[in-house]
Amino acid sequence: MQKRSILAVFLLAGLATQVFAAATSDIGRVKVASGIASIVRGGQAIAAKPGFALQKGDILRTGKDGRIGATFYDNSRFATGPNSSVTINEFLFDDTTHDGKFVTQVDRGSLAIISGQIAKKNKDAMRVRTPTALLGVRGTRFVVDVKGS
Amino acid sequence: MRNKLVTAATCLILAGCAASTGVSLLPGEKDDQGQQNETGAVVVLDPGSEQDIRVIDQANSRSGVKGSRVAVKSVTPEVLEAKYGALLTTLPRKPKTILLYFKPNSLELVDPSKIDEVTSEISSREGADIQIVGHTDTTGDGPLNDEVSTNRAKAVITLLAEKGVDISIARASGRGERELRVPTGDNIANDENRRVEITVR
Repeated sequence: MQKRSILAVFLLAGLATQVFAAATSDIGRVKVASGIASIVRGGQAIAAKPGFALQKGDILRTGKDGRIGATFYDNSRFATGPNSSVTINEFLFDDTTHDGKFVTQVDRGSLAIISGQIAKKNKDAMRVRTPTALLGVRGTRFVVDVKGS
Repeated sequence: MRNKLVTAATCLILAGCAASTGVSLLPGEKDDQGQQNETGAVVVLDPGSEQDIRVIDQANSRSGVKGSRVAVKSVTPEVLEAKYGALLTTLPRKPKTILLYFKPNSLELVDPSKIDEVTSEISSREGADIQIVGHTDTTGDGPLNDEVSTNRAKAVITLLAEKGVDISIARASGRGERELRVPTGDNIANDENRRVEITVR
Protein backbone atom coordinates (compact mmCIF):
# COMPACT_ATOMS: atom_id res chain seq x y z
CA MET A 1 0.00 0.00 0.00
CA GLN A 2 1.30 3.39 -0.87
CA LYS A 3 1.02 6.27 1.51
CA ARG A 4 -0.50 9.30 -0.06
CA SER A 5 -0.48 12.77 1.31
CA ILE A 6 -3.54 12.88 3.46
CA LEU A 7 -5.42 16.07 2.89
CA ALA A 8 -8.00 17.03 5.40
CA VAL A 9 -10.56 19.74 5.37
CA PHE A 10 -9.78 21.68 8.49
CA LEU A 11 -12.78 23.59 9.67
CA LEU A 12 -10.47 25.57 11.87
CA ALA A 13 -7.54 25.72 9.49
CA GLY A 14 -6.89 29.38 10.28
CA LEU A 15 -6.56 28.67 13.98
CA ALA A 16 -4.44 25.58 13.40
CA THR A 17 -2.03 27.52 11.21
CA GLN A 18 -1.67 30.17 13.86
CA VAL A 19 -0.65 27.52 16.40
CA PHE A 20 2.01 26.23 13.99
CA ALA A 21 3.33 29.67 13.09
CA ALA A 22 5.06 29.72 16.49
CA ALA A 23 6.05 33.34 15.96
CA THR A 24 5.45 33.67 19.65
CA SER A 25 8.09 34.88 22.06
CA ASP A 26 6.43 33.03 24.93
CA ILE A 27 8.73 30.73 26.92
CA GLY A 28 6.45 29.31 29.58
CA ARG A 29 3.46 29.97 31.78
CA VAL A 30 2.64 30.88 35.34
CA LYS A 31 0.80 27.98 36.97
CA VAL A 32 0.62 29.00 40.63
CA ALA A 33 0.43 32.45 42.21
CA SER A 34 -0.43 33.56 45.71
CA GLY A 35 0.11 36.55 47.98
CA ILE A 36 1.98 39.53 46.61
CA ALA A 37 3.26 38.15 43.32
CA SER A 38 3.96 39.95 40.09
CA ILE A 39 5.74 39.67 36.78
CA VAL A 40 7.83 42.72 35.99
CA ARG A 41 8.15 43.34 32.24
CA GLY A 42 9.72 46.47 30.80
CA GLY A 43 9.65 48.11 34.22
CA GLN A 44 5.94 47.46 34.71
CA ALA A 45 4.57 45.10 37.33
CA ILE A 46 1.72 42.84 36.21
CA ALA A 47 -0.15 40.70 38.75
CA ALA A 48 0.94 37.05 38.36
CA LYS A 49 -1.97 34.73 37.52
CA PRO A 50 -2.14 31.11 36.36
CA GLY A 51 -1.97 30.99 32.55
CA PHE A 52 0.08 34.20 32.23
CA ALA A 53 2.55 33.69 29.36
CA LEU A 54 6.15 34.45 30.33
CA GLN A 55 8.80 35.97 28.08
CA LYS A 56 12.56 36.31 28.18
CA GLY A 57 13.57 39.22 30.42
CA ASP A 58 10.60 38.85 32.76
CA ILE A 59 11.24 39.20 36.48
CA LEU A 60 9.29 37.03 38.93
CA ARG A 61 8.89 39.24 41.99
CA THR A 62 7.21 38.37 45.26
CA GLY A 63 6.56 40.21 48.50
CA LYS A 64 5.96 38.89 51.99
CA ASP A 65 3.99 35.61 51.68
CA GLY A 66 4.09 35.80 47.88
CA ARG A 67 4.75 32.71 45.75
CA ILE A 68 4.92 32.00 42.01
CA GLY A 69 5.09 28.61 40.28
CA ALA A 70 5.86 28.42 36.54
CA THR A 71 6.46 25.74 33.92
CA PHE A 72 8.62 26.46 30.87
CA TYR A 73 8.37 25.02 27.37
CA ASP A 74 11.25 22.61 27.98
CA ASN A 75 9.24 21.24 30.98
CA SER A 76 11.50 22.93 33.54
CA ARG A 77 9.57 24.00 36.62
CA PHE A 78 10.22 26.91 38.99
CA ALA A 79 8.86 27.94 42.36
CA THR A 80 9.79 31.27 43.90
CA GLY A 81 9.27 31.82 47.59
CA PRO A 82 8.46 35.06 49.45
CA ASN A 83 10.54 38.24 49.11
CA SER A 84 12.18 37.03 45.93
CA SER A 85 13.38 38.54 42.69
CA VAL A 86 14.18 36.12 39.88
CA THR A 87 15.00 37.25 36.33
CA ILE A 88 14.79 35.01 33.25
CA ASN A 89 17.82 36.37 31.39
CA GLU A 90 17.89 33.88 28.54
CA PHE A 91 15.64 31.14 27.27
CA LEU A 92 16.21 29.42 23.94
CA PHE A 93 14.67 26.05 23.20
CA ASP A 94 14.47 24.03 20.01
CA ASP A 95 11.41 21.76 20.25
CA THR A 96 12.91 19.42 17.69
CA THR A 97 16.48 18.92 18.93
CA HIS A 98 15.98 19.98 22.57
CA ASP A 99 19.08 22.15 22.27
CA GLY A 100 18.76 25.36 24.18
CA LYS A 101 20.01 27.78 26.75
CA PHE A 102 18.36 28.81 29.97
CA VAL A 103 19.93 31.47 32.21
CA THR A 104 18.21 32.66 35.36
CA GLN A 105 19.34 35.22 37.90
CA VAL A 106 18.29 35.05 41.52
CA ASP A 107 18.90 38.46 43.07
CA ARG A 108 17.18 37.72 46.35
CA GLY A 109 14.94 35.20 48.00
CA SER A 110 14.53 31.56 47.04
CA LEU A 111 14.02 29.55 43.88
CA ALA A 112 13.24 25.83 43.66
CA ILE A 113 14.01 24.24 40.30
CA ILE A 114 13.18 20.93 38.65
CA SER A 115 15.17 21.05 35.46
CA GLY A 116 13.77 19.99 32.08
CA GLN A 117 14.87 19.08 28.59
CA ILE A 118 17.44 21.87 28.10
CA ALA A 119 19.54 20.68 31.06
CA LYS A 120 19.02 17.07 30.05
CA LYS A 121 20.27 17.58 26.50
CA ASN A 122 23.38 19.67 27.17
CA LYS A 123 25.56 19.85 30.23
CA ASP A 124 25.51 23.34 31.75
CA ALA A 125 23.09 24.74 29.12
CA MET A 126 21.00 25.70 32.14
CA ARG A 127 22.61 28.18 34.50
CA VAL A 128 21.68 30.10 37.58
CA ARG A 129 23.42 33.26 38.67
CA THR A 130 23.29 34.84 42.11
CA PRO A 131 25.14 37.86 43.50
CA THR A 132 27.86 35.48 44.75
CA ALA A 133 27.76 32.43 42.50
CA LEU A 134 27.47 30.99 39.01
CA LEU A 135 25.86 27.54 38.92
CA GLY A 136 25.58 24.99 36.13
CA VAL A 137 22.56 22.68 36.32
CA ARG A 138 23.12 19.00 35.60
CA GLY A 139 19.71 17.77 36.43
CA THR A 140 16.72 17.51 38.63
CA ARG A 141 15.71 19.07 41.90
CA PHE A 142 17.34 21.76 44.01
CA VAL A 143 16.80 25.05 45.80
CA VAL A 144 18.89 28.21 45.51
CA ASP A 145 18.53 30.87 48.15
CA VAL A 146 20.15 34.25 48.37
CA LYS A 147 20.37 36.10 51.65
CA GLY A 148 21.33 39.57 52.65
CA SER A 149 22.10 41.29 49.35
CA MET B 1 44.72 31.34 51.38
CA ARG B 2 45.58 33.52 48.46
CA ASN B 3 42.08 32.93 47.07
CA LYS B 4 40.56 34.16 50.29
CA LEU B 5 42.60 37.33 50.19
CA VAL B 6 41.54 37.97 46.61
CA THR B 7 37.89 37.35 47.51
CA ALA B 8 38.15 39.68 50.51
CA ALA B 9 39.71 42.39 48.35
CA THR B 10 36.99 41.96 45.72
CA CYS B 11 34.39 42.32 48.45
CA LEU B 12 35.82 45.61 49.56
CA ILE B 13 35.74 46.92 46.01
CA LEU B 14 32.36 45.60 44.88
CA ALA B 15 30.43 45.51 48.16
CA GLY B 16 27.38 43.26 48.03
CA CYS B 17 29.46 40.70 49.86
CA ALA B 18 27.05 40.54 52.72
CA ALA B 19 25.11 38.30 50.33
CA SER B 20 25.40 34.56 50.57
CA THR B 21 24.12 31.81 48.30
CA GLY B 22 22.79 28.48 49.52
CA VAL B 23 22.34 25.49 47.24
CA SER B 24 20.23 22.62 48.57
CA LEU B 25 20.22 19.45 46.49
CA LEU B 26 17.19 17.21 46.87
CA PRO B 27 16.73 13.61 45.72
CA GLY B 28 15.24 13.33 42.22
CA GLU B 29 11.50 13.50 41.84
CA LYS B 30 9.47 10.27 41.84
CA ASP B 31 8.35 9.22 38.37
CA ASP B 32 4.79 8.27 37.38
CA GLN B 33 5.35 4.70 38.59
CA GLY B 34 6.48 5.95 41.99
CA GLN B 35 10.13 5.10 41.32
CA GLN B 36 12.66 7.52 42.73
CA ASN B 37 14.62 9.23 39.98
CA GLU B 38 18.35 9.69 40.33
CA THR B 39 19.68 12.70 42.14
CA GLY B 40 21.16 15.18 39.69
CA ALA B 41 23.98 17.62 40.25
CA VAL B 42 24.66 21.31 40.42
CA VAL B 43 28.14 22.49 39.55
CA VAL B 44 29.67 25.63 40.96
CA LEU B 45 31.42 27.44 38.11
CA ASP B 46 34.10 30.07 38.28
CA PRO B 47 32.19 33.28 37.43
CA GLY B 48 35.07 34.44 35.24
CA SER B 49 36.47 31.41 33.44
CA GLU B 50 33.26 29.31 33.76
CA GLN B 51 35.41 26.30 34.65
CA ASP B 52 34.12 23.75 37.17
CA ILE B 53 35.06 24.55 40.75
CA ARG B 54 33.00 21.93 42.55
CA VAL B 55 30.31 19.44 41.61
CA ILE B 56 27.55 19.18 44.21
CA ASP B 57 25.94 15.75 43.72
CA GLN B 58 25.10 14.63 47.24
CA ALA B 59 21.36 14.32 47.85
CA ASN B 60 20.11 15.99 51.01
CA SER B 61 22.98 18.42 51.19
CA ARG B 62 23.20 22.11 51.68
CA SER B 63 26.10 24.15 50.34
CA GLY B 64 27.20 27.69 50.94
CA VAL B 65 28.73 29.30 47.86
CA LYS B 66 30.65 32.53 47.67
CA GLY B 67 32.58 32.99 44.43
CA SER B 68 35.00 30.08 44.28
CA ARG B 69 34.49 29.00 47.90
CA VAL B 70 32.09 26.11 48.40
CA ALA B 71 31.19 24.43 51.71
CA VAL B 72 29.00 21.33 51.44
CA LYS B 73 27.29 19.77 54.43
CA SER B 74 24.79 16.94 54.85
CA VAL B 75 21.36 17.71 56.18
CA THR B 76 18.43 15.43 56.97
CA PRO B 77 15.39 15.30 54.66
CA GLU B 78 13.38 16.56 57.66
CA VAL B 79 15.47 19.72 57.87
CA LEU B 80 15.03 20.38 54.15
CA GLU B 81 11.32 19.70 54.43
CA ALA B 82 10.95 22.14 57.33
CA LYS B 83 12.88 24.81 55.46
CA TYR B 84 11.57 24.33 51.92
CA GLY B 85 8.36 22.29 52.20
CA ALA B 86 6.11 25.25 51.36
CA LEU B 87 8.36 26.30 48.50
CA LEU B 88 8.39 22.80 46.99
CA THR B 89 4.59 22.58 47.09
CA THR B 90 4.54 25.76 44.96
CA LEU B 91 6.24 23.82 42.14
CA PRO B 92 3.73 23.20 39.34
CA ARG B 93 2.56 19.63 38.67
CA LYS B 94 4.73 17.48 36.49
CA PRO B 95 3.73 17.74 32.79
CA LYS B 96 1.83 14.71 31.48
CA THR B 97 2.21 13.21 28.00
CA ILE B 98 -0.71 11.43 26.34
CA LEU B 99 -0.36 9.42 23.12
CA LEU B 100 -3.03 9.39 20.43
CA TYR B 101 -2.66 6.67 17.76
CA PHE B 102 -3.88 6.97 14.17
CA LYS B 103 -5.29 4.53 11.64
CA PRO B 104 -2.95 3.73 8.72
CA ASN B 105 -2.83 6.45 6.02
CA SER B 106 -5.37 8.41 7.93
CA LEU B 107 -6.08 11.42 10.09
CA GLU B 108 -8.54 9.38 12.12
CA LEU B 109 -7.83 8.33 15.68
CA VAL B 110 -7.79 4.62 16.47
CA ASP B 111 -9.69 5.46 19.66
CA PRO B 112 -11.59 8.77 19.31
CA SER B 113 -12.62 8.75 22.99
CA LYS B 114 -8.96 9.14 23.96
CA ILE B 115 -9.21 12.86 23.20
CA ASP B 116 -11.36 13.19 26.34
CA GLU B 117 -8.38 12.14 28.42
CA VAL B 118 -6.57 15.17 27.01
CA THR B 119 -9.39 17.61 27.68
CA SER B 120 -9.87 16.40 31.26
CA GLU B 121 -6.11 16.67 31.89
CA ILE B 122 -6.23 20.25 30.58
CA SER B 123 -9.18 21.21 32.77
CA SER B 124 -7.54 19.65 35.84
CA ARG B 125 -4.65 22.12 35.61
CA GLU B 126 -4.74 25.83 36.30
CA GLY B 127 -3.21 27.92 33.54
CA ALA B 128 -2.63 24.81 31.38
CA ASP B 129 -0.75 24.87 28.09
CA ILE B 130 -0.14 22.03 25.65
CA GLN B 131 2.51 20.83 23.23
CA ILE B 132 1.24 18.79 20.27
CA VAL B 133 3.78 16.82 18.23
CA GLY B 134 2.76 14.71 15.23
CA HIS B 135 4.71 11.59 14.11
CA THR B 136 4.48 8.96 11.36
CA ASP B 137 5.79 5.49 10.69
CA THR B 138 8.46 4.98 8.02
CA THR B 139 6.23 4.17 5.02
CA GLY B 140 6.57 6.87 2.38
CA ASP B 141 9.40 9.37 2.02
CA GLY B 142 10.59 11.98 4.51
CA PRO B 143 8.99 15.14 3.08
CA LEU B 144 5.64 13.37 2.70
CA ASN B 145 5.83 12.21 6.32
CA ASP B 146 6.63 15.73 7.52
CA GLU B 147 3.40 16.80 5.89
CA VAL B 148 1.39 13.86 7.23
CA SER B 149 2.70 14.36 10.78
CA THR B 150 1.85 18.06 10.61
CA ASN B 151 -1.64 17.24 9.36
CA ARG B 152 -2.10 14.77 12.23
CA ALA B 153 -1.16 17.48 14.71
CA LYS B 154 -3.64 19.82 12.98
CA ALA B 155 -6.33 17.14 13.16
CA VAL B 156 -5.79 16.96 16.93
CA ILE B 157 -6.01 20.75 17.23
CA THR B 158 -9.30 20.62 15.34
CA LEU B 159 -10.64 17.88 17.63
CA LEU B 160 -9.62 19.83 20.73
CA ALA B 161 -11.21 23.02 19.41
CA GLU B 162 -14.41 21.09 18.74
CA LYS B 163 -14.31 20.00 22.39
CA GLY B 164 -14.18 23.64 23.44
CA VAL B 165 -10.47 23.88 24.25
CA ASP B 166 -9.03 27.37 23.74
CA ILE B 167 -6.26 26.47 21.33
CA SER B 168 -4.29 29.63 21.98
CA ILE B 169 -2.74 27.50 24.76
CA ALA B 170 -1.31 25.08 22.14
CA ARG B 171 2.04 24.85 20.41
CA ALA B 172 2.25 22.31 17.61
CA SER B 173 4.75 20.74 15.25
CA GLY B 174 5.15 17.73 12.97
CA ARG B 175 8.32 15.64 13.24
CA GLY B 176 7.66 13.23 10.39
CA GLU B 177 9.48 9.92 10.84
CA ARG B 178 12.43 11.37 12.82
CA GLU B 179 11.41 10.16 16.25
CA LEU B 180 10.15 6.60 16.11
CA ARG B 181 8.57 5.21 19.24
CA VAL B 182 9.40 1.72 18.02
CA PRO B 183 12.63 1.62 15.98
CA THR B 184 12.04 0.06 12.53
CA GLY B 185 13.71 0.02 9.13
CA ASP B 186 12.48 2.20 6.29
CA ASN B 187 9.07 1.56 4.74
CA ILE B 188 7.69 -0.36 7.69
CA ALA B 189 4.12 0.26 8.80
CA ASN B 190 3.87 0.46 12.57
CA ASP B 191 0.81 1.21 14.73
CA GLU B 192 2.80 2.73 17.58
CA ASN B 193 4.83 5.10 15.44
CA ARG B 194 1.72 6.53 13.81
CA ARG B 195 0.85 8.93 16.59
CA VAL B 196 0.51 12.40 18.07
CA GLU B 197 2.09 13.08 21.46
CA ILE B 198 0.38 15.70 23.57
CA THR B 199 2.14 17.10 26.61
CA VAL B 200 -0.16 18.89 29.01
CA ARG B 201 1.69 21.29 31.30
